[in-house]
Amino acid sequence: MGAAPQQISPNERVTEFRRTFARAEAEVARVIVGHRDAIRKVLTALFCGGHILIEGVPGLGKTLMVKATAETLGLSFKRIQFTPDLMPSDIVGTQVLAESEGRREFSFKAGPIFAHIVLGDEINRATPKTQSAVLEAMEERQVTVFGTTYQLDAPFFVLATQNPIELEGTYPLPEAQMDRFLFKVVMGAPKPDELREILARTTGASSYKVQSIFDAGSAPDKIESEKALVREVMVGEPVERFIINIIGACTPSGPDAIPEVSQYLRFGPSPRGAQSLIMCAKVNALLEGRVTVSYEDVEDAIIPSLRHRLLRNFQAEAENVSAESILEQAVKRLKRPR
Amino acid sequence: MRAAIGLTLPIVATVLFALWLDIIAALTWENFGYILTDDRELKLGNVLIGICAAQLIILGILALTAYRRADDFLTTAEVLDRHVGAHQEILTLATLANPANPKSRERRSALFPMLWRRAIAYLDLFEPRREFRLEPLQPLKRSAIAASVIVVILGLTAFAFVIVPTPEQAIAHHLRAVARAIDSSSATPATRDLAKAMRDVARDLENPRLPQEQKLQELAAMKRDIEQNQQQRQRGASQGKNSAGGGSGAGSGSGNSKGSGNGAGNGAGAGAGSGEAAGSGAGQGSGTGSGSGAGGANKGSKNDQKMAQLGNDISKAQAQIQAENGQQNQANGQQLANNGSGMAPKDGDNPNATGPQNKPNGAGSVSLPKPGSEARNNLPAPSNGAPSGRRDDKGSMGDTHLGEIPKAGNYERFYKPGEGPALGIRDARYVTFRLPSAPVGNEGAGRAVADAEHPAASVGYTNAPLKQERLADTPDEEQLVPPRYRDLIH
Repeated sequence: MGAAPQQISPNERVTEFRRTFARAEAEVARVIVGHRDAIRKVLTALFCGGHILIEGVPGLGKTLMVKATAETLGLSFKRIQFTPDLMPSDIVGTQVLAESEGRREFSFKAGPIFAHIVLGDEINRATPKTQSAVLEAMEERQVTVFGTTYQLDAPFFVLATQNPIELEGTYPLPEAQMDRFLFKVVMGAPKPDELREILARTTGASSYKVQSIFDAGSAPDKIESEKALVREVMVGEPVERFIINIIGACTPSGPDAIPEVSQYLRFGPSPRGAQSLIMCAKVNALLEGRVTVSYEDVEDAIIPSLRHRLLRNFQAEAENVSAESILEQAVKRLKRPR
Repeated sequence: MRAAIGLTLPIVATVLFALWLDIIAALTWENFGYILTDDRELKLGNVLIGICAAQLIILGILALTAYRRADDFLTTAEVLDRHVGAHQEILTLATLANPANPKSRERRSALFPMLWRRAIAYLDLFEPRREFRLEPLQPLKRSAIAASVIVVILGLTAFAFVIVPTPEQAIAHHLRAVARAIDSSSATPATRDLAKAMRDVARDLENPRLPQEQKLQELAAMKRDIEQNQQQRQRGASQGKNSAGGGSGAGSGSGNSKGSGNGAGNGAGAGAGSGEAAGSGAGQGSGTGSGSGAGGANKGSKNDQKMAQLGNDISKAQAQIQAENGQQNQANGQQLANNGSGMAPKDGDNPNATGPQNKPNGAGSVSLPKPGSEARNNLPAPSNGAPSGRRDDKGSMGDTHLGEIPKAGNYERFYKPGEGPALGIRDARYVTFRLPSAPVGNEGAGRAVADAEHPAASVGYTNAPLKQERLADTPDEEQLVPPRYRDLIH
C-alpha cells in the first residue's frame, strides 16, 4: 500500500501531485470562503502525514473546512466533540459484550478515532486523561484497548480545533501534545468581501455539494503515494544548515539563540519542529514544480511549523510578545548560508 | 576583478600624492609658511610607500580570497544558482554530486534524474559573460570613497610632518627646490654645477655646527653665482634671439654696513649713579634689480623666474639671519653693559629715595638694513641718556641690580672678622651680600641676620664692616644699596 508506481516518470509524478493538490484546494475553496492559506496548510499537513491544530473563534468555518476536506479527498471522516466528561473509551472504543450465534463474548467496538480524518472539536475542553488518549493514536497511528493494539488505517489525519476564548473550564493542551501537531493554523475573521460571499452561499436557496477528487476507494492509496513523493524531495546541505540554524536561533538555552529568544522564551522547538519544517518545505517545493527545497520554501514554513512549539515566559506574556513576532525576528537576523 | 577595481583609485591616489607632493606642498602648507624638510620628506615618502604596500597586500588578500571562493565547489554552485535563479536546485545537485563527498550519492532519491535535467536546463541558459558582466560602477563608487579617505589620511599625515622653518631651513628648502627644477629641465653643465652648489649650500645652511658668518658668506656667494648665471643667460639670450630689438637688463646692488654704538647715561638721585653701556650691531644689505626688455623672443623662462625669486629669497634670508645675529649682539651688548664699571655710590640725604629714571644697563639697538635699500650706519640709540637693551625699561627704581644678581665672584672681599687685608673698596659697583643662615659670633661687629630663603653657607659668614677709620673716609664712589637691604646696614 502506498508504493509509488514505478512506470511513471518523476516529472509526471510531480505534475500529478501538483494537479491533485490544486484540485483539492479548489474544491475546498468552493465551500470555504477565504482562508486560502489555512486550506493550503491543511492539505499540506495531510500530504506530509502530520496533524493540524486549528485555532479560531466559533463560527469561522473550522468544522466545515475539515468536513469539506474529507469529502473532497473521499476519506472517511469522524467528528469528536471534546467535553469535560468525555472519556478515553469514547474516543478509542471499548470492549462490549455481544451475543453471536448463541454465545456471548466481548468484542471491540471501535471508537471515532478509527477514521481517516478525525476532527477533534474544541480539544482543550476535554480532560488531560482524554486528551492523552489521542496522543498514541496521533503519534503511533494505533490504539490499545484492554491490551489489544489496533492499527489505524492510513491515511490517518487528526484535525483539532481550539477556541482561544472562553477558557474557563478548559484544559490547555500540554506541550507534549502540542508538539505532535505538525502545524498550528490560526483562522482570522473574514474580510468584508469574504463575509458577503459567505452570506450569499449560506443563506441562499442553492447549496454546493463537495465532490471527491478521487475515485471511490482509491483515495487512501493515492494519498499515500503522494506522501511518499513528498518524502523523496531532496534537500541540499546548505538548506539543511539553514533549518538547523533556525532551530538553534529559537532555542533559548542554545549558544545560537537570538536575544529575543533568550529574553522571551522558556523552551524552543524540539527536533519535531525541524522535521515539520522540512516536510512542509518539501510540499512547498513540489507545489512549485521543484524536487529540491529552497530557502524560500523553508521560510514559508517557519511560522506555521514552529509557532506552537515556542513556550513563552511570563515576561513575553506580560509584554504581549507573540511567538510569531519572535520567529519573524529570528528569520530577519539569520543569514542564509553562503 | 571587483577587488582590483575597488583598490585601483586608492592606489592611484597614493601614487599621485607621492608624485605631486611638490605641487601639493606649494598649494597648501608652503602657502602658510610651512615646509617639509628633506629628512621629513624622506620619512613621508616611507609612509607613502608603506601605505601603497599595505594597499597592494590588501589587494592580494582579496584576490586570494576571491580565488579560494571561486575554487570551492559548493560556493561556485551557490553563485551559479543565484545568478540563474534556480532556487537552490543547482546547489542541491552540487551537494548530491560533490566529488569530495562520495556519501552524498546516498542522499539521492528517485527524483534525482528530474533534478539533473532541470539543473542542466538551467546551466544551458547560463551565459557566463551575460551573468557575470563586469559592472564597474559600484566598485568604482566604493573605490572613490576609499580613495577620498586615503587622500584625507595622506593629507593629515603630510601635515603631521611639516614644520615651521627657520630662515636657514626655508632658504635651504628653496635652494633644493630650484636645484631640482634645474636638474629636471634641460640644463647646461654650468647650471648643473649651480644646482650642485645650491644643494651644498642648502646642506651647509642646515648644519647647526657651522657658524652664522660662514652661512652668510655662502649665501652671498650663492647669490652672486645666481646673478652671474642670470646675467649670462640673459646676455646670451639677447644676443642670440633678440633680433627684433629691445633688450634685457639686470642690475644688482649690494651693500654692507656695520654699525656700532655706544651710549652712556647718567642718573642722579639720592643714590646717584652712572652707567655705561656699549652695543654694537652689524647690518648687511643688498639689493637686486632685474628687468627685461620688450621685444623679440626674450622671455624669461621659468627657471629664470625661479632664480630671480631665489635671489630675493636669499637676500631676505640673509637679512633674517643677520637679524638673529643682531639680536644676539644686542644681548651681548646688554651683558657688556651689565658688566661695565660705574661710579661708586655716595651717600645721599635720603637713603630710601629712589633715583631718577636712569637706565644704566641699556644696550644699543640695531636697526637692520633692508634688501635693496641703501646701506645705513645704524647706531644703537641710547634711551634717556642711558643705553638700554630693554624696550620696557622704566628705570631701575632705585634697585641697582635690576633683578639680575651678579655672579658671586667677589666673595674674596668678605672675610671673617679679623681676617684679610684692610678693606679698600674702590670702583665697586655692587656689593654682594651673603647672609648667614644662623647668627654667628661677630664680636660686636655688624648684625647677623638669619637668611632662610637662600642657600645656606657652609661656613658662617657675616658682613665684615669697614674699619672705623675707613668709615670716616669719604669713598671715591658711592655704592647703591638695594632698598630692601638698607635697613640692615648701619
